[in-house]
Amino acid sequence: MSSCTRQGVADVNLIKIQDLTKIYLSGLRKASIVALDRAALEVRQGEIFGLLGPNGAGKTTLVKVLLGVVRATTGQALLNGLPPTNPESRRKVGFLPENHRFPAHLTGLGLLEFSGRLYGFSPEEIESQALPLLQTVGMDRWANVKIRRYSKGMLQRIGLAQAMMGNPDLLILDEPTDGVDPVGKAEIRQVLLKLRGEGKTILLNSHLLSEVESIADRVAILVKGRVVRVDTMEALTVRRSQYEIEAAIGDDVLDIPAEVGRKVFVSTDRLVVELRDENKINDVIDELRRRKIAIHSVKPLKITLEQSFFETLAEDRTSGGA
Amino acid sequence: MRGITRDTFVETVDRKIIYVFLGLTVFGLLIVFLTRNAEFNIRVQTNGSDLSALMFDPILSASKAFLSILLFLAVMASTAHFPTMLERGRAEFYLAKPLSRQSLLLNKFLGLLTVYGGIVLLSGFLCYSLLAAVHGVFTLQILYLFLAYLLSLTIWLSVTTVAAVFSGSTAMTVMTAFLVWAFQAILAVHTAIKAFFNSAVFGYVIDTLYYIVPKNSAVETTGLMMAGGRSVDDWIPIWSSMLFAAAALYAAVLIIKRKDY
Repeated sequence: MSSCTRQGVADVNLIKIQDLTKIYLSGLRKASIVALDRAALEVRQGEIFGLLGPNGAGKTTLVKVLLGVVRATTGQALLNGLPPTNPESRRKVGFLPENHRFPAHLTGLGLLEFSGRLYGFSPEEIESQALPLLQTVGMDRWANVKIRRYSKGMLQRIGLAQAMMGNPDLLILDEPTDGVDPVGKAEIRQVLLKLRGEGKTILLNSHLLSEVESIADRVAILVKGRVVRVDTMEALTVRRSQYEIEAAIGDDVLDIPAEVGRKVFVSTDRLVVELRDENKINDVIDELRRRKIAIHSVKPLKITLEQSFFETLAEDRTSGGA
Repeated sequence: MRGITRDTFVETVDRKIIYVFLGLTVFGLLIVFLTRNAEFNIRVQTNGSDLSALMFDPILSASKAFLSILLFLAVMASTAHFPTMLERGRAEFYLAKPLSRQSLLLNKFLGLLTVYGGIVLLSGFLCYSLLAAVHGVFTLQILYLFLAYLLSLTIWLSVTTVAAVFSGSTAMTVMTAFLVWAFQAILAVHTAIKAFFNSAVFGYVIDTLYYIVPKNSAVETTGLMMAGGRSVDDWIPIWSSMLFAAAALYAAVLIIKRKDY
């Protein structure tokens, strides 16, 4: 049995990629475009894993390689422990592609039925799943309307429903809220959280950092085909080197020794310090106590995922992106 | 398999293609009905493999002509199915399912053959049945002609499938079908061409091409002869065309297995 790293997240990897490289050859002269460059990551069972990166970072290519839509040039990709060339690797996987063009001649219900048939489900299984799924994504009213009549938001909802056909263990969603209104986004987020509650694993590829921040457990940041950082959401959004201290500072002039760190911000009741070392926070607290300043709270400074993302990009640029 | 065949049928209905065939069938039935009192010189009495005599059999000739129109429309209408299925955004929907690419391609091919073959045969059979019933010449031997057209459709679909998988373009697929049609029409008179140029090398090239390129017209004519009760001396068009179809499908499988979508 696998041990759990957090409630509901097991140490079983549903997705594992190692040294994955994909080079597209384009044009008559076969100019090479490196879409993935020795990328490596693992997605554990039961977690929501966010895939972030600027346009052209290789996020969609990574997803396509996993699903066998695109062939890797070198390296290894495993989906449910099987290589993407084995169709059985996709048996319990639901997929919502980016910029999808579902068969427009089908109705919403027809798409779900067709999707179920491609998975090899019996008519009874399809019937028992299709309508509840349409209700889950709020598309039951439009079940018998042709897909070509759907708006972008409706297409995303029906796309999510078809990805959920067959109760898959793993959902791979490429920009699931693209074109969806704020209400729809919130509804989709609730659906994803419900799925996580049911122990489903979700690989979420999205440009919307706030969306990823609100639901993902872990995140990988891709830049120019390389996975430059894989971390938990907490590690990405908490700055251990910066602390925010709520205290009755008043007009006291605080001096932070250079070997401890520096003041970033100070007011009568709030102090933000940047430390040379995470353990130096004790020195700051000692100094406050020595001055008999009442301390109300001490917490690491939280930043948004967006800030963390841009910092990672900047660090990668500074280090030469090697 | 059933899912893809059903989807192909729904797509055919949605594109209104099926209404064209329905209209053509009604038109054919109407023509037969309006000419019910015409007197034909049916069944020219000749023996052996005399094709020219068969050509003057109005019932068989009319059936062959009608089937040829249906076949042409079926081939043209089917050219868009594969490029549409493999276009960006659509291909991912299919390829992310637990189906091998080979299985997807062959199922779609069989789906197209079932749907378009079914339409051609049903429409052709309805018109022939009325024509033969009106003139009292119904024969089950007509099935040879239908089988020949079904084989011809299979060959055409193998051509359009490999072209569509290779190019991903409906226009290229249509152009390829026309090119093959032109080639096979030229090569149908390969003996005369060889005699005209009187060159051993050229003759060798023409012979090689004759064996490689599918011979749909010859396949259909073979069906006509069998339906007319004539003996068939040359089976090369049948087996070489079948080999071509198998090779084309195999090539399509190899291409789709290697392509990125």
